Amino acid sequence: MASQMDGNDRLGRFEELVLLALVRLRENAYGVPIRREIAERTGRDVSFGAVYTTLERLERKGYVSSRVGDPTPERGGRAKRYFRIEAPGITALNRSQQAVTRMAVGFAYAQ
Amino acid sequence: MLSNLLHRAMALLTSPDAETIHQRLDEFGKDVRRLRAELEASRRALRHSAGSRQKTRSVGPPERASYLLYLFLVRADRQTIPGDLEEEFTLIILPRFGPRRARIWFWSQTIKTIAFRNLLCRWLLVGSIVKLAEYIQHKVGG
Repeated sequence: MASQMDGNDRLGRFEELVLLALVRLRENAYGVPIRREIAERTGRDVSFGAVYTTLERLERKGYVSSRVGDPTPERGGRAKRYFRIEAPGITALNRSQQAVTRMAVGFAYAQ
Repeated sequence: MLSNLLHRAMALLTSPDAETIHQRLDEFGKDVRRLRAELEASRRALRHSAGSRQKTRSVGPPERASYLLYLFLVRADRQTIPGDLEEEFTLIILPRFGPRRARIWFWSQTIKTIAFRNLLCRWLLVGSIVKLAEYIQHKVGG
């Protein structure tokens, strides 16, 4: 059961990027900065649809939580939805990063 | 220009003979016409710049795209996603790329977002890709 859980808990590449963006942005993590952070650091032009679909999946897994903020005039009076990474999300992110690091060991010599 | 006109008017009053007066009157008339044309041109330029400034200020996200978002997004997304799109459009894309490219950006984001977030659109998209792959396979395979 535990091994099955571990298998299901693996993060996709884009999920990792979204979680890392949440870690970087801390309290100011909502749609616009998350999308810009990923676009500027990876050079990938991602859509809001992709970002929100991923965030919703991560929220279902319990890796992130969200709250609705206040509406602002530059958004046409619409509210922001802030996201926050939770402890299981940090654990999953660490595990995923460690897996990548372990897989990359020895690459420097294999040229 | 105005001081030049005044100077000519003073010279006209102190002219010695009729011929010189006529000559100076002609020059005076030409100056008046030139001044009037310059005034009209500057007035037109002012009107044009005020109009373009007003046009820039009134540029907003494409209304039809916003309506499509409203139609195709689920209720939970109707506040956040259009708000994010409008914020990025107004604060980042529009000042950096201008109205035309900003509107193209908004439309492309709208289509991508609907394709991702609307279940029916996603099914249609996946279905059409599968159908296309089947068709290509059928054609290539004979």
